Amino acid sequence: MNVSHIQCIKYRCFLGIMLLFSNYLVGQELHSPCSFKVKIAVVDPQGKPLTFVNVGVIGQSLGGSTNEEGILNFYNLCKDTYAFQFSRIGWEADEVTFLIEKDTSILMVLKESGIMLDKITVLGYGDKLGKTTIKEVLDLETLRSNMGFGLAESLKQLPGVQTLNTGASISKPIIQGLHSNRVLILQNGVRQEGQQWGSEHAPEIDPFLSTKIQVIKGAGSIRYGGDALGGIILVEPPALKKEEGIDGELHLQGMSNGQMGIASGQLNGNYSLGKLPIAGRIQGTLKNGGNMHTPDYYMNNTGVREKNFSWMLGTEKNKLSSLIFYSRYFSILGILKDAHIGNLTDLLNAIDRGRPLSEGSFSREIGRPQQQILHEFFHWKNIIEIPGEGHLEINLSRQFNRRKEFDAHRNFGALPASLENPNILFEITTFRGEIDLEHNWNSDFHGHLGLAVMHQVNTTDRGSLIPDYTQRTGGIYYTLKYKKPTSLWEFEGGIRYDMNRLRLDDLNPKLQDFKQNQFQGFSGTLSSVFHLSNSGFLVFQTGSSWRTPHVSELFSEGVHHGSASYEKGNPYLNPERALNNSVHFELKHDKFNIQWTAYYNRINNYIFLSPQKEAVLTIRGAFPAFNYSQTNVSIAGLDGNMTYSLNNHWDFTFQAAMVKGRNITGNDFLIYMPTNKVQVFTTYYLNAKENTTHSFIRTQLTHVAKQGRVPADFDYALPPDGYFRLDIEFLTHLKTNVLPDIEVGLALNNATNSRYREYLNRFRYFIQEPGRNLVIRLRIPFGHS
Amino acid sequence: MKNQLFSTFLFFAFLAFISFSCEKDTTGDPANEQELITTVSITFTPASGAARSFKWTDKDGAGGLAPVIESITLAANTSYTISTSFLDESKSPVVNITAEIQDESNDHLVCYVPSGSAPAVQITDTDKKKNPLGLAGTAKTTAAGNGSLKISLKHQPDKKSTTPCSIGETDVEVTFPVTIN
Repeated sequence: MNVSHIQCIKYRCFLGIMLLFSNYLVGQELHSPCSFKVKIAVVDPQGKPLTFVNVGVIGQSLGGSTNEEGILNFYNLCKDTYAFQFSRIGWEADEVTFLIEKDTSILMVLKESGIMLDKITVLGYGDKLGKTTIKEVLDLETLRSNMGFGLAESLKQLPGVQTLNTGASISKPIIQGLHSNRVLILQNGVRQEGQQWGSEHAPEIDPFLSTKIQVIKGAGSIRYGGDALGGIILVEPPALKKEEGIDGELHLQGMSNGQMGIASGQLNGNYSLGKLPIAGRIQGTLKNGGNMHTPDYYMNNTGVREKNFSWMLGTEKNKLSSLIFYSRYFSILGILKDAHIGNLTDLLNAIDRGRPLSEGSFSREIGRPQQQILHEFFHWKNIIEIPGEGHLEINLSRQFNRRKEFDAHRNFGALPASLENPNILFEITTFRGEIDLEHNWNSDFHGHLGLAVMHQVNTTDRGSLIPDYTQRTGGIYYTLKYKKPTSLWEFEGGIRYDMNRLRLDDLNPKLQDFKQNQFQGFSGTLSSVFHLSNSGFLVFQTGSSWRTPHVSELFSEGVHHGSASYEKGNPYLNPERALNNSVHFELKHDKFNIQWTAYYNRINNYIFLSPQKEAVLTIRGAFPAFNYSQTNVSIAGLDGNMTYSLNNHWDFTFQAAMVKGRNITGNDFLIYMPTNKVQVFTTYYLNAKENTTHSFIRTQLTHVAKQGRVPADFDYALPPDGYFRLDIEFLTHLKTNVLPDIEVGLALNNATNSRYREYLNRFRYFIQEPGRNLVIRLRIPFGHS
Repeated sequence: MKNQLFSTFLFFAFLAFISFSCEKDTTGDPANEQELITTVSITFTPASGAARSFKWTDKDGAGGLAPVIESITLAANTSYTISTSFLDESKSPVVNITAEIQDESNDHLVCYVPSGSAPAVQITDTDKKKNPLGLAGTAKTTAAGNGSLKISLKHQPDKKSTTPCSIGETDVEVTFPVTIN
């Protein structure tokens, strides 16, 4: 016997050498076609055998679990390609594909999952996005080290995701050059509905409630809506506890810049009510930060407060499982005082100064201008297992969002000292219902049929930026996937129809002609995967999606103080229509792990603010006028990630992203497109990195180039220079006798305290980016079995 | 077992109810009325002769109808005393905001920027800290010609600064055409 043992560890699969095995040198012709034996041994990273690991073969009725020695044998296999799936509660599931043409022995190394153990299966059953969807998953370690900076800043760690910032406290994700209404955010599978249209309206989600954040690029998934022109962000809370008992974890973080303190904790429990298992979680986060500073001065009034709370309760019985999820997000965000502008003269004066008037000082007080945002999310999810077919999923949800903005601008007179009467108050209530039915035509064709309805009421109780409205939408979709373990190709296609009825509830006489609006259209995707070998695949994706113009684009009118411009909606706007084309390449070979995505998106009737020749004259002076207009644009880009693992101590990663946005009709560039960005990560593991309690030191060097692709006549100042930024991170685990290992992280962000400005920060006119920040964080798990 | 399932659902429904009763859309506050400046009025009084007032008016606020701008017409080589007032003509009766500026005089400054033949304005009034305020002044015209006068009202300017008019938030900024005959 000449059996080689090959290690495979998730994410670091040395798949290239995985096919090292051979037997019976006499040759294969002695075998009948279906007589191969496959011995599978499963071990943990320390090499200890793992029992009770479920091993299945995709698309076949083969399967079993490992014995006490961690071994499972398959007999009488035919010459074919087999995709083995490994799963065990508390361990990261994995999948490897082998061409079996001789007797084979496979050694599989599984990694302990860092997340709360997958307990009740309903909660573990999420949307299993296949390879046909071009996506990036933020790995848990990276997510944990960035959670404290908010959702958008965490996502920035992924190639191809950037952020649009308003000062240091407000950050929105940009995917493939698009943001706001063109990017969907889903919490636990349901679309987040707030006031996401505004560029200074940050997503209302606590990243601490999640252990998995994925980004779907382009028009990859029509299940969530046909209007995700840029992409979709999926924020998923971990599954509930399945075994009886209680566990939990506590996160504690401190940051030197802004003297920010964060405490977040969660408690998971499982209890049997008679024979009915009930599992639940309560989770909460508190955040308190004061004025941040740049290398040269404090930024006054940039404090932040957050008080978030969520709970989840689930059960399952026979074929039905049911889950209730509630979350409440509340934040108070201070907005830089110096960005407070009365008119164009003030703006030009502020740009001319390029920095705040005073050195500033540290304070936790948050004055005007500020935002207070409440988002309540209630979700009831039911999954019924249909034997042989899959699942029927029913989602019902209600969301409520209240956004209060307190201006430092006033028409005249002193501002009230109290924060009782906001200048702007929006309240939006959304009810959604969704049904998704999974079914199999045969073992190779899997379909999803779905229906989604929404009822939404928005009221603008203060201010008059957008009118009150009621919106009803309905959508129906069908997706079909072809996947056969023996085939090198996989296909998935989908089609969706949506309609949207928008009724204005406003008494403004100017709007009476536009009370009823209706939009409808189809969207579709087609995606194919080609498996190059066992270690790599290519995805070709094309899709068309469309987006209804938002009320703000149709009907808003007024001075936008942040940008000293007069913005005017256009009630005659047509829906935007996008054609997305992407090619994605992934390779895990030997010591390399490579992912690249190239895309070319064409958007017709792209809605943007077009500068007008005539300024609007007001008693505060002349404001440059911008009208919402439509044009045809193209957005092309390339982003990717390459990791080279020298050995089990050194990792080198190179990440790069480039986007180019063109206004085709106007023959010009698009404003606020991300700048070329390159990042180099160097990681040194003090002990072997496969060790679940590893320690590492990582340096991250980021270079952002100067944006040269800017439109003429749009901006008040030239784009800032490019910059380098260095971040250093250290992570280790402390062994304790009583508790599971405590994760300790230490990070020095902007380690060299470099002075730079970011093109995608709308306050770059007035301030530098934050200076050096020392972050200390602890994650204390407890009660894990 | 069915009963148990049922009771669990009841429990969930109860929790749902609790959540739903949490936050609701609060029904329409009346739009908060804010004070608005619609009109700047400047009065030129010569040593002998009648005073003349000129107005810059935008009664419907930003957007909508274009503002109505009167042209300042003055005699050449004449000294004038000036008084400037700020009004809200969108209300009835008209609200005179000048008095409030007087009350908060430390926080306000009226700036005058002439161009062309328009005369320079010397501020003659002061705030409570004896710094310039700008609601009153003097101007002396010279030769005949055309020009313009920009009047701005600054909130929280730095009156100690060498350029007090480039700091602070601008509440008003209007430009009158000026003709000197």
